[in-house]
Amino acid sequence: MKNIFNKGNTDWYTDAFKAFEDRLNGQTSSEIHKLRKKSLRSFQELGYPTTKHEEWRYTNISSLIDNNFEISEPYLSGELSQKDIEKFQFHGLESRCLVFVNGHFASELSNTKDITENVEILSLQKTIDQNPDLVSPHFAKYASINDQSFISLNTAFLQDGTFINIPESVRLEKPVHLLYISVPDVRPKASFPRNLIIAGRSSEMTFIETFAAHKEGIYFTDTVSEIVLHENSKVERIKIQIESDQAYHIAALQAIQERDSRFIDHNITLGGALTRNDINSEFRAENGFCELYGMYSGNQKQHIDNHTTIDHAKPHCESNELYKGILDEKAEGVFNGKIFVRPDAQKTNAIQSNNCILLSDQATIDTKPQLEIFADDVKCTHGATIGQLNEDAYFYMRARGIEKSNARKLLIFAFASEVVEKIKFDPVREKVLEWFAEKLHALKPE
Amino acid sequence: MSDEKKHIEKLANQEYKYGFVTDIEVDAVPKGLNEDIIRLISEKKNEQEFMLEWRLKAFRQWQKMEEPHWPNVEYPPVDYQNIVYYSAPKQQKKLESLDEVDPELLRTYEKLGIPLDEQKMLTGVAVDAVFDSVSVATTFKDKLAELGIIFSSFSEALQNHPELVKKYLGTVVPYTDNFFASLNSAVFSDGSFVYIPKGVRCPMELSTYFRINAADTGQFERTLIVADEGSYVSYLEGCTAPMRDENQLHAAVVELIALDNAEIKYSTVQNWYPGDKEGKGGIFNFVTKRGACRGFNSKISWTQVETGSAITWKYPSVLLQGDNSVGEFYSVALTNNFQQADTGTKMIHLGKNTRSTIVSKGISAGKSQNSYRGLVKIAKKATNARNYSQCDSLLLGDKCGAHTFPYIEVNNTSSKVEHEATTSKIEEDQIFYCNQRGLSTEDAVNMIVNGYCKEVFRELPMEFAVEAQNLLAISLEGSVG
Repeated sequence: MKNIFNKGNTDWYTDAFKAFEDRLNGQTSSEIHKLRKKSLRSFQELGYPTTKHEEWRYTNISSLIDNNFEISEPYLSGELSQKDIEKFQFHGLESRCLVFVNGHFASELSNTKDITENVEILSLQKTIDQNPDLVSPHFAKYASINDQSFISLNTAFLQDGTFINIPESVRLEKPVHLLYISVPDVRPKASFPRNLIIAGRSSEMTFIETFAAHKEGIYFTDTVSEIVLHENSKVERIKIQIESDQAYHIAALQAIQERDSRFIDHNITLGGALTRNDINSEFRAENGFCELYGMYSGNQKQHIDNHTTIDHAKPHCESNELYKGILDEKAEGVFNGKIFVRPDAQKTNAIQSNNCILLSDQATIDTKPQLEIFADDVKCTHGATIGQLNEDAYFYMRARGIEKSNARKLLIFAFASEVVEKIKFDPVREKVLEWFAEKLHALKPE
Repeated sequence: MSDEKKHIEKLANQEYKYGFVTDIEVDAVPKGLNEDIIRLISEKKNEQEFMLEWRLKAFRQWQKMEEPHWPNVEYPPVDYQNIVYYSAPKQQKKLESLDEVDPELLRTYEKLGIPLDEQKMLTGVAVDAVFDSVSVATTFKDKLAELGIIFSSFSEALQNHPELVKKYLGTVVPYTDNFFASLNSAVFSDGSFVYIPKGVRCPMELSTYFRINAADTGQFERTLIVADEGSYVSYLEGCTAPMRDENQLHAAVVELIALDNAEIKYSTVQNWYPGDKEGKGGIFNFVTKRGACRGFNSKISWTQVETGSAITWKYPSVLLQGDNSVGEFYSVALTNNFQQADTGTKMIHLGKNTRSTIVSKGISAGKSQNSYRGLVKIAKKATNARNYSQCDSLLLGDKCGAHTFPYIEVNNTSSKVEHEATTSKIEEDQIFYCNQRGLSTEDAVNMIVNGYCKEVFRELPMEFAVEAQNLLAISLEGSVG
């Protein structure tokens, strides 16, 4: 276990924690704060993962460590206007929208009206203050603070985020949009949004997470989401990451699936200098279903790392995973998809597929699809391909008079669409394609 | 069903067929490892100064290294001071023909099913048999010598062709490579050396048979094969070991070098003693095998059938340095009872238009764990490189595990890499179909498994393919039900 963690400048966060504590006035004796302190200790003990750490083999975070990020401050009224967040909204989509600025809830920008009674969609901080009993049975119970540095760091500095609690048999037709906007400062800031989503029996909901920047600049987002899916519930998440080109984005998601539950995740990465997603789902009972879709597109020197784990701990569960990447210029992509099939998890059906296109000789991809299987009556497959655009299709289009650069773009677009198409809300899907097209625009003609 | 179970139980209780000890006086050094032991080994082998220095450098390097623990296997710590690093049948005089070999030794080989003299006449296979650590007889040497082919034990090659050994030794697997390769470099006692001169196509399959006999001895052999421009050679390696309760260590190194337009085909059938049904005893097989396609259009092909050893830890790799070079890896790894295997390959594409194919078939039964671990790396300059990997796992029983850890690293746009993996079990309806047609469940499983491995078996030379099929059947016994 030597060398896989590096103490780096963990002291920086130790000092920052003292200042952070002072700001919390009055809260320091609460249960939540005890958890924060425990997490900080855990972070101090762990330090940062190095590339010797198997899970961080291809992602070097030394530039992140070298930045001394300050802890972001609460939102001040009037900092941003409705106009500023306009461009991140999905036109034509009826949704409630919770807006967070630098990780802090901005109620004046949010739209929480017509939320059905007894459905709780709240800022996490407010819930912790007013109704801690709602939060405590699940909070920080699934995302482990003991072995993952960035989860412990997030938990140490946790302050705000979203709390959603859908009662039994409630079906939310309209999605919930969580918009996380970072406003970069001259001194780089770090924010730690934290989400807890509890879907009651036979409930259903979709939420959209958008991570965006108000303007270009360096900052660090370390976010953690925990999702609990009770029996027969269905939760769909659509995550769209369009952070600043200089931003650091590290996100962890832990889903817990009870019997007959269904979890669907769409993970779209377009922005950020360094992005790391850890998406884990665990089947706690039979007949669960999990779908993970991902699309990432990188150019310049972007580094995009997606790690997924599906833990088939119980029999008769099914999972389906599809990740697609497009890498141009000096972008680096990492994909690691793990499928665990525990002893006795018979009748498991797991499919995983990872396709990647490299558009430039400087771009690199490191992929590691991994199967660990301890049961015999299972069907598991994984496939990974790395290649280029289909020459025949390209020729076909060229023969019909389509310009070089357009033909290329069309092909790339078609490649990515397979994943984006899975988003069922038209306005969201169109907006994602629009953002993606903007990014493609920067593509150099060959 | 109960009848079937009894039948299966009977088969499962069948002991390791090759577990006998041969009583031959051995010449061994004391247990333990230090510079004196290395000097003693070197002296016994009458080696030149450069060899001793190389061994000592490796030993000093080894002392600084830590035993790796990343493979997906578990085993009790190995006491490196409790191993006899050199053991040789006591025979000082030089052997000219098979008649001079100790008849006891020849009988051992007969039991193993490789009667040297018979093979010599019937199959045309030249055998360099390694008994413990010293090569005892090399057949067909004269015939090969006519073509300029050097096929001899490593020690003989050191005496007769030191310049060749010096030129190539450690150039593919340096003594600093890894813990077990360094250990091997320090203490290796013998092995095989093959040199195929320019433009020569080796007319017969070359073969070595390894066998660990004396208790407490580690087998540290080293094989070096050099195929000069435009040459071709097919090399077979087979391994067995007697039954012992304690674990024995086997840390071999194989280096292959293919120059321009040369081709090397290396086939292994490994059935070291796998330990008993409770997982007691067995060989720890920690092997470093690597080939370098140095030249333009060169080709290296690894085929392995791994059915033995308590623990297998090996990754036959190919460095594709020359343009248009080709690397292949075909593997069947079967684990039963408490066996553990962590095996796979590395294909490092460095030259342009290089191609590699990986076909790995893992079969786990009983309480065994079987892992495929592979790396496909395409360097920036390896334009138009192509890789296809397929790794399938078959699970027999619900107590075993099958794992895949493929690493794929691509650094340019003109290359294509495909990787596919599946995991499955034998379907009940397949068995039912066979039963219906009068095949016992045991035979049905054998047939299905053999069909599953066919892609790999057809890469094996004829004699080996038959042996491999039988071996698979023996190893699978008792796993059905």
